[in-house]
Amino acid sequence: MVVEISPELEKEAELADLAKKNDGVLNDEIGLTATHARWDLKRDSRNRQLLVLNLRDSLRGEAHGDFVPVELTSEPHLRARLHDLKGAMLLVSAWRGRVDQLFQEMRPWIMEAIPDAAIQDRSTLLIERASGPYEMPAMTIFTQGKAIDIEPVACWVVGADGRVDVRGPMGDDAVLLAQAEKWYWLDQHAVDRLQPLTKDLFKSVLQSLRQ
Amino acid sequence: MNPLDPILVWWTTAKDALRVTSRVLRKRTEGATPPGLIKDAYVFFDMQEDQGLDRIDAAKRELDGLVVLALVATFERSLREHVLDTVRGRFPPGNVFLDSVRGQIENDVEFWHFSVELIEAFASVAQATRDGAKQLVKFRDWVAHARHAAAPPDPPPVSAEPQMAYRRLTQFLMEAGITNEMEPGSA
Repeated sequence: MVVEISPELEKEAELADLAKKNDGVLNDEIGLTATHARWDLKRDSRNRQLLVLNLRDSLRGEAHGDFVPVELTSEPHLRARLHDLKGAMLLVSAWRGRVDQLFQEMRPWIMEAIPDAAIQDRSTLLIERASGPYEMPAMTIFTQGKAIDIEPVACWVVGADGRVDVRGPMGDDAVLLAQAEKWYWLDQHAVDRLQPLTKDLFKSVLQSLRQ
Repeated sequence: MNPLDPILVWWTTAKDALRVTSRVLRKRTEGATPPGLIKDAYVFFDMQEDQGLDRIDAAKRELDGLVVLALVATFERSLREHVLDTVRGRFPPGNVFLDSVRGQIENDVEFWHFSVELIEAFASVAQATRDGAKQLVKFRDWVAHARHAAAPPDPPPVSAEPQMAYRRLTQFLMEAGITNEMEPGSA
């Protein structure tokens, strides 16, 4: 794993040393999982200095954690934080894979439901407590001057392994939830009526959102 | 009766009211609403469609957070009441010593820590169900105390969707024997 120190952090010699001293712990906890780690510096809303650890793996997983300097002086505490951060990075990687697969499956369904649709690929920024900020793919479908957005909302969701929202011009949201590697549509009119997402169901959801 | 049902009813009503308002704003832009439908006393009177829809979206997000807060608060009260009812059943009044013991326990139960003590007291409920409830308590705490406290606002510890929260908490109440009902029509 490559461990980098940002130029901003290098300017703060004491803090940079603190990060460098923990190279061993970092490699021990994360070395085999992440391919790249970068220590950075930022200030919080009260102007206190924080060290930021940015982790990336080869499967597009990423996680970003803020550390108060004193956290780097306690090895057991640091190990626990790094362990959680590694878990978050792996989840983001798996979550990206699931959303990629969903979008790939959806494209032909969209064109079948709305033949004149133009699909614009874009990205959306998610900010989650466990992982920090990360970008995810999103789509906007344009049809007859109207737009339907399909956007991941969160990976850490109570009762699910991720949530994607579909918002149309009529303002009716459709919520898609991932559970056990499968996608479900959460029926807004019945409690917990999770229906497996199929082509026909998705087409009818799209129709109801655009009318 | 499921004590969480009334919350779901007002949430569904409020959500649909926002949906209807969104539709009215769109129709007004198209000139398809009767004059005077949106009166000058309403906040939407002078608003452009986009601005009105943005305000409704923001209100929906707040509503979704508040409904989970209400679900968790009612769930908490139901658990405390269930413990108290159990204690009262075991210590019927009439004995000075037992009355005193019961009184002490009743006072103590009100101070049990929600996640650490109260939820864990229901040891017969599956661990996964208890953990799910604890996640919702964390989300409730974030809604109640943290979300607007920092700048920029703190993200939630976990995202919670009202229907899933209802399902999770009802599952707990069913396993604990406090209710045996899920809303009619639910899966």
